[in-house]
Amino acid sequence: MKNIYILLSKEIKYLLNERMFYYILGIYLIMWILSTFLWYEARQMVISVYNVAKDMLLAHHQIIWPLPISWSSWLAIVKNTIVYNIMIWWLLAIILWYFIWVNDKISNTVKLLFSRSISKKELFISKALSIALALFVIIFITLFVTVLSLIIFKSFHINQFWNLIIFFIISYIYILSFGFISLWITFLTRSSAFSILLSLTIWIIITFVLPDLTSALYPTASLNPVLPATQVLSSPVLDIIHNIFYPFSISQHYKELSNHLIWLIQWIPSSATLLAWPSEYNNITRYSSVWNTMVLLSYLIVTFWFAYFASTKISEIDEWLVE
Amino acid sequence: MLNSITIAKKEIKDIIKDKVFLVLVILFVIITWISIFMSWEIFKDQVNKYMQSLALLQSIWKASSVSKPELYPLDLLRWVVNYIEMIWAILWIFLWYLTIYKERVNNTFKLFLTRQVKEFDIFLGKLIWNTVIVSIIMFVIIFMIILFLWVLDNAILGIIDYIKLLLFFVSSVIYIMCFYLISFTFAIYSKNIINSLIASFLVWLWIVLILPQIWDTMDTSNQVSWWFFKTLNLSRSEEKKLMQHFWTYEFLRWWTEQLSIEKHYERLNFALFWIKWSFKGKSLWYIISDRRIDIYVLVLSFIILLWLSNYIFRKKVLYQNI
Repeated sequence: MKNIYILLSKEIKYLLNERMFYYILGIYLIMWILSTFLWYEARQMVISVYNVAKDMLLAHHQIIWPLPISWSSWLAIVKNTIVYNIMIWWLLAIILWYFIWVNDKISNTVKLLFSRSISKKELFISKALSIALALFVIIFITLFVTVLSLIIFKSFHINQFWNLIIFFIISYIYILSFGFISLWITFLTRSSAFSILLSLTIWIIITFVLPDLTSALYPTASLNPVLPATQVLSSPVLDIIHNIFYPFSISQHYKELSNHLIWLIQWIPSSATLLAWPSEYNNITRYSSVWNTMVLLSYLIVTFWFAYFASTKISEIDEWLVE
Repeated sequence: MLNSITIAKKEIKDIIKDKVFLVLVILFVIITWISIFMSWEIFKDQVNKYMQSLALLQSIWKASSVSKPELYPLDLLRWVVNYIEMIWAILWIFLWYLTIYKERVNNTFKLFLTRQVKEFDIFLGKLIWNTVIVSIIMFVIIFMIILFLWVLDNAILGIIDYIKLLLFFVSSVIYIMCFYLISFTFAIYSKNIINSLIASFLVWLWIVLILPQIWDTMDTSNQVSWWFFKTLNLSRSEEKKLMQHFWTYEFLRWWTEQLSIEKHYERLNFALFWIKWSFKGKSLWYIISDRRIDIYVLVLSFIILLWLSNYIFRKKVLYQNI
């Protein structure tokens, strides 16, 4: 335990002294604040447009429908976070982890550590904990900023607070899994080029290729926080492919679960039948929230185990980086 | 010039021997195949549904008011365009970062400068090798596209289709080279290679993710779950009349999207391949003249980035600051 504590302290000190960590935190927070501000402005715009439209309709003695956004979720302010977590956080987790480990390898810190009475298990636990803590800090700060934004924009409702907390926990699990994937890869490979490329390939497969295979989603659909209705289920061939690959499409499970948590796909008012309710609200979701959660947790456990298994294979005496 | 070609040849040989390059090519070929296959299956499904509906209508002595879906082979390339604009750009940033990293570690740059090699030769050599590698990969992808289309549907492309693929090839090379020049500029400017990688990544994020998202977020139709104006029962002309009251907002929204070269690249190729419905059936000349702004933006961005990266590179070499 003492060794783990010492190694963990060293990792945290390194991170806190590393400007890159603050850049990453800064990037995420700036993007988050920008998206919140834009969301608020767009909503105000909708209200303004509605008021002008109401006057036009009244002048022509036409029926005036209620304000469309009156039934949308208050937590919609965080919907862009879903996209940021899928698109950006994987990359930041990989970069963060890559430079910690590669710096250790190049400076021969790893060999030095193994010359002491430090086991591979202790080294692995300290690395895993350091990345978990770093990501936790960033998620926690983002949660704080979110609650502040909700209060400032008068969008905060106490009965939604727990949904928000659970949403951030799920996001943390999703991002942490990518951290463990990059940990696994850097333990496995001796070439820094190959380790980054392999991490990128896995991200591409999870974020784009699997949704493409399972639901025929375009890559730009990953910029949409809500999963659009899939067309594949009406085709026998594509339905089979969907059934095989969908359990492994982690990004879709994460999106489905997030949509449920922040109520992007539950708020359907009773007047929905009068209006042609949008296809995106008619998602055919194959799994309940419980299953989505189980898949994400399994993913975290599997990636953790892979990383641990890879750490047992590293050579204590010959651990040098090929460039 | 000879020095540039020598440098380029050396870099090309290195990258081709590297496993990384091979993995990249295989990855893109597989992604291309999957995307075309999925598009093809969806199209087949649409045709089947149409035939079933037609049979049903005919059985009750009614005619179909909807025409049979027609396959235009290049229409299946939407995914490929999306993959290049989003994924290939970031892959190229990383590939370039790794090359610079190796050069810094091995001090290759400084070794070049001790020889009788001008800085422009080094710059041009690197530009040539990147262009050649990108072109090779694009050529392989286009070859695969033609092959897959022929295998799936016996689709034989005409001269115009080949010209469109050529334009797609050129625009893709220019688009990817823009990201190369951005990474090159940051890598040369910054002594710390990690900071340059993050800066390049930020630019990619801004161009590919943030700017298009700002445009989408500011769209009133995306704030509600259906077309906003449809929920208010307003027609298209009434919608336009109403939005004139909010000209400034729409103007800002439109301009935000224009700042992203990704959107220009996408619009040009979606128009060329008739992916956007408003261009279906239009001639090539019509498409090029309608989308000339996108072409100008791509070419201009490339030229500006070329000048900027060369300028910064020469300044850094002049002050021995690499």
